[in-house]
Amino acid sequence: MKTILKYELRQWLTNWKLYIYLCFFVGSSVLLFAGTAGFFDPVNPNEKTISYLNSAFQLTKIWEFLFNGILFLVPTLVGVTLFRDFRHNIHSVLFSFPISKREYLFGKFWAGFSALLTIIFLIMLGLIVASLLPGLHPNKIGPFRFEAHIQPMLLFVLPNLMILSLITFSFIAYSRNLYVGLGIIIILILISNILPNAIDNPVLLSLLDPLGKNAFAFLTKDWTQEDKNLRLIPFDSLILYNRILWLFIAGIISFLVYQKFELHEKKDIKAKKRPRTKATTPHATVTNKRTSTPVERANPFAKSLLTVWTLSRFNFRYIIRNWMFYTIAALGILSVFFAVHQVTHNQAVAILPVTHVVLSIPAFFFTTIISLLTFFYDGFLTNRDLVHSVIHLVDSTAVSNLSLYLSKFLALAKMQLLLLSIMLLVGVGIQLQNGHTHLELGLYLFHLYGIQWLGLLIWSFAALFVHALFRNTYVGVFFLVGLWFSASAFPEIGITSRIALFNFYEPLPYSDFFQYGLGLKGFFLGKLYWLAISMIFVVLTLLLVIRGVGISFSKRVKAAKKRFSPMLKATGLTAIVCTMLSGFAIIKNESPKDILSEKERNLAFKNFEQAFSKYAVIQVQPKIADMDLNIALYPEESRFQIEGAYTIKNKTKNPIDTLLIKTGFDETTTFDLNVPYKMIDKDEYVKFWVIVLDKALAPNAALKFSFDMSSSKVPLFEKHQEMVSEGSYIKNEILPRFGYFLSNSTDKEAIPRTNYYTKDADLIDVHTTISTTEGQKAFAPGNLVKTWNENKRSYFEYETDAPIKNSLGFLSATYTTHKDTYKGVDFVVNALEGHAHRISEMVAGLKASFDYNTKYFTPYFFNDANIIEFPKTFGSYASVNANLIPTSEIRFIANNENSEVNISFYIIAHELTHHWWGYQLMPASAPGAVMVTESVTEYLSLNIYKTAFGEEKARQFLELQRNRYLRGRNRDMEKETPLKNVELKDQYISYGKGAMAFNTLRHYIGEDRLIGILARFLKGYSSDKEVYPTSGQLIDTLRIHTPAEYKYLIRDNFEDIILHDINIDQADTQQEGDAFQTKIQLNTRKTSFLGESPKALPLDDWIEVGLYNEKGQEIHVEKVKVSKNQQLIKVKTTQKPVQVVIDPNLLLLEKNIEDNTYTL
Amino acid sequence: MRLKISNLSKTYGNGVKALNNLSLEVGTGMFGLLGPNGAGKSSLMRSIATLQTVDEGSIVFDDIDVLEDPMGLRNVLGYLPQSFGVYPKVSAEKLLDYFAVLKGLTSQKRRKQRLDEVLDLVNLTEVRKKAVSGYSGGMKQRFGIAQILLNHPKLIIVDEPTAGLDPEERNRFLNVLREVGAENTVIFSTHIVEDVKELCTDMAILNKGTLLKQKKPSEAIAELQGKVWVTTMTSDVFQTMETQNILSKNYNPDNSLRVRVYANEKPSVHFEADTPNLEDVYFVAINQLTESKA
Repeated sequence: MKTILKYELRQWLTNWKLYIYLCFFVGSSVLLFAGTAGFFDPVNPNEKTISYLNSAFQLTKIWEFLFNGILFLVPTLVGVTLFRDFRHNIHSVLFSFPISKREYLFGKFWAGFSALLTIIFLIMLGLIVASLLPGLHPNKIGPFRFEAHIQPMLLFVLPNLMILSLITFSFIAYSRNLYVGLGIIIILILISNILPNAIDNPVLLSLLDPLGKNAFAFLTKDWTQEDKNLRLIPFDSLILYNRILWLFIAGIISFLVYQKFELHEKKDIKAKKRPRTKATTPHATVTNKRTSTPVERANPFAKSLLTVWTLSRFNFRYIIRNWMFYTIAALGILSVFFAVHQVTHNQAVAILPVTHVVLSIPAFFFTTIISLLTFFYDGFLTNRDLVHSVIHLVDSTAVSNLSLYLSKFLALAKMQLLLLSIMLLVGVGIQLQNGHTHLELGLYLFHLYGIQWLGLLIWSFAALFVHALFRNTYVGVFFLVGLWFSASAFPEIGITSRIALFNFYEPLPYSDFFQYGLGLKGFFLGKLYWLAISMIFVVLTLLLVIRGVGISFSKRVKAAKKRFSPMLKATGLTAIVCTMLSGFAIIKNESPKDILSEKERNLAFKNFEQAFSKYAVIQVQPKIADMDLNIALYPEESRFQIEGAYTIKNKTKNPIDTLLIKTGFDETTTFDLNVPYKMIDKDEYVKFWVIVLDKALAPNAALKFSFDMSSSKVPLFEKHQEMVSEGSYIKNEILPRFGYFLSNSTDKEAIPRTNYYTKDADLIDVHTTISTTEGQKAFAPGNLVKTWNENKRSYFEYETDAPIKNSLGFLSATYTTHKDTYKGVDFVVNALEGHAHRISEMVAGLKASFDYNTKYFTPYFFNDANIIEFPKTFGSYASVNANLIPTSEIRFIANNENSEVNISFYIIAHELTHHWWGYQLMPASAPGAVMVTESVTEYLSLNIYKTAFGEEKARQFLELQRNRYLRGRNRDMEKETPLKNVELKDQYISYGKGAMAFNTLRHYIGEDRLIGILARFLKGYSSDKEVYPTSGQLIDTLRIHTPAEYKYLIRDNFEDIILHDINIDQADTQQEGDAFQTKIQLNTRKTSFLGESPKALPLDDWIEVGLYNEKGQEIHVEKVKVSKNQQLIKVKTTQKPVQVVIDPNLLLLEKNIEDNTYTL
Repeated sequence: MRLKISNLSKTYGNGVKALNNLSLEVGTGMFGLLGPNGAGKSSLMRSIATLQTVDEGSIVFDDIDVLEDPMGLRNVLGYLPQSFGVYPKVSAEKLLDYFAVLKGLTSQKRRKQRLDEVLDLVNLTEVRKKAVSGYSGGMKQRFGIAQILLNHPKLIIVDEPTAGLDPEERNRFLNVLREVGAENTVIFSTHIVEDVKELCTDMAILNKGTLLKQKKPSEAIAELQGKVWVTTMTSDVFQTMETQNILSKNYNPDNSLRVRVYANEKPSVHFEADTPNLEDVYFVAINQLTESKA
């Protein structure tokens, strides 16, 4: 064995390919690490998040990523070592030598495995060196800990390598076929994709995952950013069981194969039971027939075509007629099925299986698999003749190189079409299975055979070229996989232009409003460029393809010169010209001269801050009192024009002479005032202007500010940002605003008499004339007073009859309208045709919210509420602009039957509630403002939901909020703020924790009392008074009206960050007379995370205890005062309790509630 | 002349001169290429079969300049290399079908017809559906001929075709070749001199890349008439003999040696004249023997 081992090792050490692999892997690991740690970027001072790339957690994730490439190394190193003997037929001699099976197999295995280990260890060293490089961002690199580097190796990388190597080696030894190794890899990738979608039970999933990824994810799912930075990976039993299980499985497979393997020349195949006809013929004579068919003299071109087609059939059959292809196709089908299933079921918010959802989710993954198969199978096809020594026969036949090339290309194309068609069938099958009959076959065909297939064809051309060049299937596959990675890796190291990203694929923005319309131009331009380059590949391939034997590279070049026919020259020249033209077009559209690259943009903003931050002290600006807008939308041209006039008023007691004006960043705006002024400063890139009035604006005086705005063209490759299209949505952020916009007012004191939403306005009157193409309907806030058509355009005039918040939205599309008049108010839903599924639920949401809020608070101010659908490219949210409720398309295709929460109902109920909490009451511009709006609204939505759907469903809703908070906590990279100071971006606190906090308070002080407090607060701070409350004021009000024994809840939930940790040590119940006495030994801990480090707090809390009978029904619930960390609770019931649950109503915030249940 | 090879030279990367200014003319019929291992036979055949490049020289077949227009030759070529592989688990019928398409038989009907003919010709019809990778050596060679004949080739090149065949198979194989060679040009290389004698209308002897002799077999044998002598002696005596001009020595059953020499005149009384054979021609050429007196 030692001899074989030493020999094979020496073979590897002198093999240049090993060094190529080494450089590639170690090089890209180092680059990846350094790039992610900021080696290539300047330090960004605003980035405060601390995320250590060299922590055990992150290194594990880095290794997971690298393993995608290392996967391919396994058969290349371990498999090839063994297969070499079979390939070159040496085994027929070698096996007659006095070596044992054991020596042979072990020697081969350890040689390949050692080569593999060498590369892995060098990668690890590379990562260590990369982490010690100078020039890395300090917030991305922590102190060096060797354990952090070693742990992922010991727990994941090394065992995974062993498992994979054993399995691959065994399969290759058993089948004596090298390509099985690659097939195993693809099968493994497919299985890794299917498992998480198919299995819900996390423990089962963790065990079944051969690479241990899911076990790791499960164990660290609750880790906060700090945990990720500092903790080492726990040697948890789950990980160990997974490793042991899979090493065991790999061992079993190896053992079985070892037993069956024989050092025989041919594989021992069991004889078939059929009577065998002898394969030798008896003594026969040569027939002397002189029949002979004359050689055909058909049309040579037609003949060639027929040859190509017939040969392609042979090649195609070779590809698909084997177990590997069937297995991969079957697993591919499963992966598509489970991936779609995951999105359309078993979710908090599931989506209907509409065609574009079915296409988008699996499309990327499945197309990647098809690309990989293209790389492999083209390698097999190209090298098949060489491998089987058929090359002498084939190369001396009269088939041209072009015919051979085309026959391979066609076979690959057929394979790709076959797999794409399978995806179509699976997608349609899933839809039908779910009762969704709106199949949109045209969309399927366009997406699969137009968009995806174009990319695959380019890969075919690339594969044909690479394999013709390298003649070694593995090297070729490596090269192609590397090329594939480069498209996503290059931007990380600074190469962002699309002309360098091979066959780049950017998901096209899709919406049922315009389907793929927006992004198609950019898509086709990109594909044209890469197709032109592919044509160059074709020419090069035909020039360089080897025909014959003993051909060195210099001979190839010589032969190429001979083969360079005029036809090839013409093709090549055309291809080069096309490449240059389309490449030039791409570059031009990527960075038109007035739109800078990201680096330059950041620089421009930095310069702006330096030069203009001095104006931040100017806090006082005039406020907009009313607006008159004339908006012209041109959907076919994707542009718009806005003319507008504001009346701006000085609402302060002092004169104002300096105006800070911010106009739309992407738009071109000119403005004017009706009084003389001078522009003293400006930044034309950021669109910020500083003007000084010749005569200062006196208190209570007003000015007219007029402006003219036109949209600028959205760059070809960023069409998802398009505001005007078949579904237009413009928000008033782009209109001229006043004040220094960069200051983050939430970390300063509250600006007096300024509301959180719009510092430059209180409530305003708005008059809008909006026009669009004929047939569309345009919306603006207010009442529709007039509509007319003119010059093939439709005009709509809107007027607000009560002043509204300066949060405006303008929409236009071709809608179908559903109207329902309820209690004098028109509830209208404007949706796209065919999106009618959820309308009744949305209207129900409107009605429920309307009833609830008008009952407890105040009347609804407007005559109508208009839900208007907008394309999902803008987002998945909904918002409210006076009487308009723009709602994302996504909510119209929600799959509420399979979701935990009816999102369509809930989101509308939530938005309408903002009419009261967000418009009738507007918070001050201060930290915690969103607590007053979002938290309260979320809590009220919970109540509305309960009224509509019952306790059980409401409880599910509450659970979702709890999970939202806990998950968000883990993801938050910055320090968590208490509810009182919650920031806009921390929705997990404002929505999740907010709902919980108010709900808990309600539980103890009573619904009526809480609602009463809120109602009084709302009326007291109504926005027309222009007095805006802070979260602190709300909290104070709550505290004043809360009974003394519950006042602590206010501090705990709103001003502090408290997590409880409760578990039941022991519990038992005993019958005493006709009652049952249950004793519960409770462990309770209360921790505050407000400070720098967690602090344990003394207990004096109410905690609910629930007891349940054997049917799961609640027998008894009571609140107990817990004041000790270990406390004995006694509860008396009349029925026999079977289960104890602490905090059954989710009044406390606890990470782990599994240990709150005890079965007696 | 149909095949004209002029001044062909090729040197391999490792310095070995495979073909050394070789010139040859081959007409219709069977042409035998004799020579020891390493003589350059396979190199020559591969070069003609468009599988290998040459450094200098030209190859012309009928009107086709082979080096300039290899495709032209391939249309009328049938080539059977010294060793070849086959795709695993593919039947003879299917593999021949594939090769037929490669050779330009695009019409499916004609292809099937030709397949049947060719399989019949080489007597593999009964085993056409069996995998070629499972054939015995002789059957594989017959398959090799079958694929040659698919496109009615005018130039047939077979490299060491009878190596490894049992006598019956060898006989059969040569018969097929003879039939095919009647109206076409067949070049086959071998070092079994018997094959050449039986079949060939013309032959050439190669060694170290150089053409040693090209002559019809009968003529070459006639040249040696009266110059071949045979005698019997013991091995001891043999040791004392001058070794030049010895054509061959063979052992008799009683362990005495039968020695043939090449000389203008009877070398000694012990010798008798013997009819020359083709092997003698071969040895004379290979060893560059000149006539001399014993």
